[in-house]
Amino acid sequence: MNRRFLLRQAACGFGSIALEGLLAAENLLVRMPHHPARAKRIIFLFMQGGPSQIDLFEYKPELEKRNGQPLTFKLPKNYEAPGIRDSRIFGPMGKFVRRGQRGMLLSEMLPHIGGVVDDLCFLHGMHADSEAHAPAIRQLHTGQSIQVRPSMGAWTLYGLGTENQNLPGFVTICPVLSGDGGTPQLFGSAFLPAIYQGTPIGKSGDAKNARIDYLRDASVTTAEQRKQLDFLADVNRRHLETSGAEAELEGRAASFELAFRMQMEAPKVLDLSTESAATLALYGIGEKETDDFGRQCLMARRMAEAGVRFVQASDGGWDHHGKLRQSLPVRCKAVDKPIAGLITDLKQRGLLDDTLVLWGGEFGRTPFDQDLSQGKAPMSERGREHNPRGFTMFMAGGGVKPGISHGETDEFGWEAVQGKVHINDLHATMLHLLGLDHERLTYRYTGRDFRLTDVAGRVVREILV
Amino acid sequence: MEVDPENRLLWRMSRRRLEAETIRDAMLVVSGTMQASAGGPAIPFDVPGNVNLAEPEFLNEEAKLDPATRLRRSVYLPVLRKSQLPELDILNLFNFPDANQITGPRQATTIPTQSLYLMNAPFVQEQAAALAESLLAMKTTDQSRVRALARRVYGRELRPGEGEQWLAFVRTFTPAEAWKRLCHTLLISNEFLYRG
Repeated sequence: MNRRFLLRQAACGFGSIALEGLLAAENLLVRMPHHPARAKRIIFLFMQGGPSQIDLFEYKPELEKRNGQPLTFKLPKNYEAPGIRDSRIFGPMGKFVRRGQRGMLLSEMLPHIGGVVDDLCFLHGMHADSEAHAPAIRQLHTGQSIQVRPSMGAWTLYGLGTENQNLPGFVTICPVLSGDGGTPQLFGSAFLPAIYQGTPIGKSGDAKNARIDYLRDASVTTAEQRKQLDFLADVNRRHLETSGAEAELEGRAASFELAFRMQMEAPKVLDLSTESAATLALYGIGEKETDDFGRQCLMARRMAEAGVRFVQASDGGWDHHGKLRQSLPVRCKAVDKPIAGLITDLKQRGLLDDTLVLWGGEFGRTPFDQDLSQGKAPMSERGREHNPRGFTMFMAGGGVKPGISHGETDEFGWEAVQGKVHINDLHATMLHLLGLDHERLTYRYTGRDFRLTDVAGRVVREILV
Repeated sequence: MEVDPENRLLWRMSRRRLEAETIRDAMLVVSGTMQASAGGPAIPFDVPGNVNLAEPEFLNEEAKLDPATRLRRSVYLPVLRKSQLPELDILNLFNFPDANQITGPRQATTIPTQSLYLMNAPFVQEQAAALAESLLAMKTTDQSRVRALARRVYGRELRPGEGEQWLAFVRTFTPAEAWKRLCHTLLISNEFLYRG
């Protein structure tokens, strides 16, 4: 065998594999899962910045008792962070109150979430790999903290396709695009075919004006555009007659028809004016503090209803290095009612059974205080540093046990010690609920098979119904 | 065609969709709007805010293009690693590779968001309007206008019956809108977007 022969053989092989891949991948039609699915779709409520598990979800009496005392636990040898040289134990702010049938202790800053706590499955043993926003956010969205990898929404579409061909299958509402790790790569498809990438709708902080780009040409009426597209179809048909039929050309022509239908359907899904006053109120729409995230949550429900496979809603500003006592209640207020509204509404409509809701940020926060003012700020104006060693996320619906708390951190809320769930485990579990085996959902790129969970990940069977 | 419809024996050129930059450049060229200047900085320094004065060695992340740069050849446009400029969406949508990772052969996807862009994006509309304007500026008959249009957009003469088909479409719109709509349709037709 000579070199040229080998290359030719190899090149043929690659070519045909690539072609097969393209043909199979070039559509969003529904595909069979690996095993029966518990969830058909996912709504991910992303809290950018790292919400404090210590002040909201995990009551630690030890912290309250030792508030203001020197640290009683050892920091790792190489631990470095700004403004922590004189750090002391920083007790939880606000009161914890018993909520739900099993009397779960929850911060009183989340009164509405407290009302649906029996539907939620708390993961108190979450842990991630990075102390910094950008890699941690990347890991939460793509499984990998350093390189550019496909987003979990893109993997989901690749695995399952989508139920409504007139809407994008993966939508991210008001994504955080810059600062503290925000980037379009969080909803990108990386090496997966571009058809799986997320469609961004609206700008961060402006859910009121959220729309899909290029959905309308204001200078023509729908009837005129229809006429133009019919003419385009004629022009393309003539071209086919002279050039010979080809799937690619026919696909392009068909995609204009799909785009036209999308133009009709997408604005309807995003139009909240058809919702009743009671529903709008349930989400806190129309109230100053809750309007933005309320709209995001209601759009998420409408898209879930319309068959969108993966919807993300985002709220920024959870990075409380300082002024925790002033800022945390503001963020809680903004999302508490909308989230509870979403859970309630999904449940009322029978959608919660097969919709998995996931809530959380890229990491949690430290049980000791941080002072970035070089000692000028009083204790009451301090905050907490990032903490990927132990934090809380919660899920609801879609085949997870309702009304449970899984895992916990140590007595100070510093490190996950029981029921530990790594980000890779979280992703493995999400895919499992969707009917996908995270070890079998692979895509070949640069000579090896890639997975959302790379070479790790364990399905957290303890929380499955 | 009957013996080898998939062109395994390479008896003809395989059809290829134009790449992102080529689609953009081709639209600019046939509309006569292209700024044919060469070289210079990709991000114009004289647009306020593009240079970070506190740290002049870095450019600001949210760079802005001036009107002239916006009409240059794609090869002279900036490629930002963090996120490509929204006004260059045409590149992002038509599979311009992510500058953060290695890319072998480019993908050539056919997705509805591309079609939405071709139908509705101001960039495409503007090129169509410029093309229509230049046709209407010709002091001649509609017949020779469509002949000129076929040469410019498709690089060939009209086929039998084609001119009549185009003019029939023109007559169904108001005169001001009609030629722009015809030009727009041809710019997003398969014959323009594919080679071979």
